[in-house]
Amino acid sequence: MSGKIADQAPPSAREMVVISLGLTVVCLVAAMILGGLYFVTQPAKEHNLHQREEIMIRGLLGLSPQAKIQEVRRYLRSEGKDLQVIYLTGKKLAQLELDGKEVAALPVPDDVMAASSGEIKDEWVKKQIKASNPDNVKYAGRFFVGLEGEKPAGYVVEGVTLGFKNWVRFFMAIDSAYTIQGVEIIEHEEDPGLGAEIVQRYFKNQFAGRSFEDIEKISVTKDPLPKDWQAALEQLGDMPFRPWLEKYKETLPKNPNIYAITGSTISSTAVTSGVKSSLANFRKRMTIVGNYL
Amino acid sequence: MADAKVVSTHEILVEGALPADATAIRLVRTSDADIPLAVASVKAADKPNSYLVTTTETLTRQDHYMLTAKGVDQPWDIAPSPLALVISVVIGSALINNFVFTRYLGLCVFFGVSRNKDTAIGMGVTFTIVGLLSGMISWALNTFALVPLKLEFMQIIAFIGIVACLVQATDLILKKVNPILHKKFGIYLVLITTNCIILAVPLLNATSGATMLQAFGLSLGAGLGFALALFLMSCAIEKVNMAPVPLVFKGLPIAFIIAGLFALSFLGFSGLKVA
Amino acid sequence: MSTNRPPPPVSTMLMRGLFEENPIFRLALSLCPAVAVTTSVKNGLMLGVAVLVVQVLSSMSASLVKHVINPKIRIPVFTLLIAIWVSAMDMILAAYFADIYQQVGLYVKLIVAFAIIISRMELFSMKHSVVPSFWDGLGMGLGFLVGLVLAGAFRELLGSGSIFGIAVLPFKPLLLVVLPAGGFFTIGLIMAMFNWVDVKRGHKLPSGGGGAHG
Repeated sequence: MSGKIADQAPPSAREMVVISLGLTVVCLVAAMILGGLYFVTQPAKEHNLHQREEIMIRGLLGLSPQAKIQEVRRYLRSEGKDLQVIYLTGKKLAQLELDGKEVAALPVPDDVMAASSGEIKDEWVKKQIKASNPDNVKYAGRFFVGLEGEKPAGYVVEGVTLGFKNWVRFFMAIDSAYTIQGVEIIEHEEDPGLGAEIVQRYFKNQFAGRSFEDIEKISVTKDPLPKDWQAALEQLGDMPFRPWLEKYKETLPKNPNIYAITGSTISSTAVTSGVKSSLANFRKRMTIVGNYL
Repeated sequence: MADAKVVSTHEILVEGALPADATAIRLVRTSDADIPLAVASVKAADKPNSYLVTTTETLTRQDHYMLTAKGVDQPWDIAPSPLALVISVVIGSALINNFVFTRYLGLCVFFGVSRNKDTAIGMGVTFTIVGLLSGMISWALNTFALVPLKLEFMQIIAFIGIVACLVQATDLILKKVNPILHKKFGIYLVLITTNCIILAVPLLNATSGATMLQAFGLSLGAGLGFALALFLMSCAIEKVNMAPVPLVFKGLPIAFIIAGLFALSFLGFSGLKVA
Repeated sequence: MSTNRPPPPVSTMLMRGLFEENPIFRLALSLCPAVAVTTSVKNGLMLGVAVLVVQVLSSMSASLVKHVINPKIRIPVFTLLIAIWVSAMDMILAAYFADIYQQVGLYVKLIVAFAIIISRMELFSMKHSVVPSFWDGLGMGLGFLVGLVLAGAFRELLGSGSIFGIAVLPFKPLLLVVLPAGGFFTIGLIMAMFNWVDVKRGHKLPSGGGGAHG
C-alpha cells in the first residue's frame, strides 16, 4: 500500500502547500463533527450512568419509590502539610479539620444539590473553598444516603479496588449498624467467565448480612462453594434483604468466609479487601460527617 | 525532602528528626488522606539520624503513604522508588500482560512477520523504537493539550496522527541517514501503522491516567513483549514448516495453534509480582 | 485518476465477504479483536456491529471523496475518515450501551488500525461508486460479524456453558477456551474448517501461510 507512495516523485513546494491545507481542512471538519457529536452524547452518557446508579442504589437499599437519594461528596484540601476534609452533603458544605473541628459550614443552593453531574458540584465547591490554588481542593470519594422522609434508611458507599486487570468500582450498601446489606459491581474489566463472575449473585451476595466485626476478620477461601449456600445466595435480589437474612440466618454463620471464584482468586481477593477497607474507612468517617447529614 | 520507606509489613524507616512521641506522628495512606493509621511507637533506628515507626496497620511496598510530624514543616512522602515502578510496569506489560499472548493485540502483523527469525527480529526492534517514541509523544500531547482543553474525544485521531507522522518521519530520516538500515528495516515501518499495539499503548496510558514514568514503562514493555513474542513464534514456525502438517492446517491454522500454546505458557506469568 | 469500474453483482459481493474472502478466516486481517472479543456472543456481536457500521460508512465516504483527494495523501485521508467514524461510534456506544462497552471499549477504539477497512477502501472504493461500495462494505462487515459471533458462540458455550449470557449447560466444560490461549486455538480450528470445506469443493488452498497480510 504505502510502498507505492514511497516510490513516487516527491511533491513540489506548491503541491505540498495544497496538500497540507487540504489535510488541515479535513482535520478541522473532523474536529467539528466529533465535537458536535460529543456535545450530544456526553449528557446522554452521564444521564444513563446516573440512571443505572440510582437503580442500583434503590435495589441495594430496598427503598420505597418515594424515598430520595442524597449524594455526599468528599474533598481534600491540602496546603503544604496542612490537610482539611470537606464534605458536600444535602444540607451543608462543611470544611473540617481532620479531627472533625469545624472550620466553616455553608448552605448549599438547590441547583447545585440537584445537579446530576459530579463535575458541576466539584466546580462549585472549588469556588467556595478559599485555597491558594484551586487544584489543592481535590475530589476524594463519595457515598449516598437513602432517605425515607427525612430519616436515613441506609447508606451506599462507593469503593474502588485493583482487580486482576484494572480497577473495579463497586457499591456497598450498609445499614446504620454497619452491617452489609449487599454489594454491586459497577465497573470492571475482568475476563468473562473468570474475574467477571464477581458480578454474579453467587459471589457478590456472599458479603450480605455480614456484620462489621465479621468483615474485619473475613478471609477468602478456595474451598468449593456449598450447593445449599449457593442456592441461598441466588435468592437475594429476588427477595429483599431483611426477609432473606431472616430466612438464612442459620446458614450464614456456617459459611464465615468468602468462597473464591474458580480460577479467579485474585479478583475475589481484590473485591474482598476492597469491601473491608471501604467499610472500615466509612465507619471512621461517619463519626465526623454524621453530624452534617 | 528526606527519605522514608516501608521496610516491613508494619514498619517504616524515616530519615530525619522525629519527635519521640507517637501521638505527634500522623501517618496516612495517600489515597485516604483523611484517615490516620494507628502509630504504635517511634524508636531510634540503627542508622544515624533515622527512626523506625511501627504501626498496627498492614503496610505494602506498592502503596503511597504520607507521614507528618508536629513541629516539622515538611511531610515525608513514602512511595515505591521510581526505578522499581518502571521495572514493574515494563515486566508487567512485557510478560504478565504480554500484548500479543495475553491482550491479543498486534496479531495482524504478527502472523505475517513471524515467518523467519530475521524478519521477526527486524520488526521487533523497529517496533520497540517507534512504539516507545510514539507512546511518549502521545502521552505528552494528551497530558498537556488534550486533557486540559477537554478534547479527549479527539484522542483516537490525535494518536493515529502521531503514529502516522512518526512512521513517515522515521522512514524519511532513515533513508537519508542510513540507506542500508533503511533497506533492511524500511518495510516494517509501513506495517507498524496497522499494528493495533501502537494505538493501544497511548490509549491505555490515557485511560489509566499514567504518569510519564508509567507511560515510558508501558511503551517499552509493550515493544519488548512484542519483540519477544515475534522471536519465539518465528523459532517455532521455522521448525513447524519443515514438519508434516495436515493439509487443512498448513499455514495460518497451525500458526494459531502454536500461538495458543505460547499463550498457555505465558499464563504462567500471571501471578508474577515484582516486589 | 480512478474511473468507476462496473461493479460485480450484489449477491457476489455479499457472499465474498462471508466466505471466500472472509476477513478473519481467509484474509487473516484484523485478527486482534477476533481473539480478544470473542469470549462471549454478546461481546462479539457488539464489536461486529461496530465494525460493520464503520466499514460501510468508511467505504462509502472513501468512494465519495476519491475524486477530490490528491492520490499522494489518500492513505492519511482514509485513516482520518476511519478515525472520524470510529470516534463517533465510540461515543455513541459509550453513551447508550455502557455495560457491554466496558468489555469491548478498547477494541472499538482500535478499529482505526484495522487493516481490513483501509484495504477495502484502497482496493474497492477507489474504483467503484458509492452504492457498490456500500454493498462491498456490507459484505465484508457481515463476514467479520459472522466470524466474531461464530467464534464467540463456540467459546462461550464451551467455556462458560452459556449463549448470550443465558446458561445452556449446567456446568463450564472447558474454561481454558475463554482464556487467550483458547481464543487462538478456536480461530485456528475454525480456519482449518474453512480450509477443509474448500478442499471438499475442490478449490486450491492459500496454504504455506500465504493468507497473512499486514
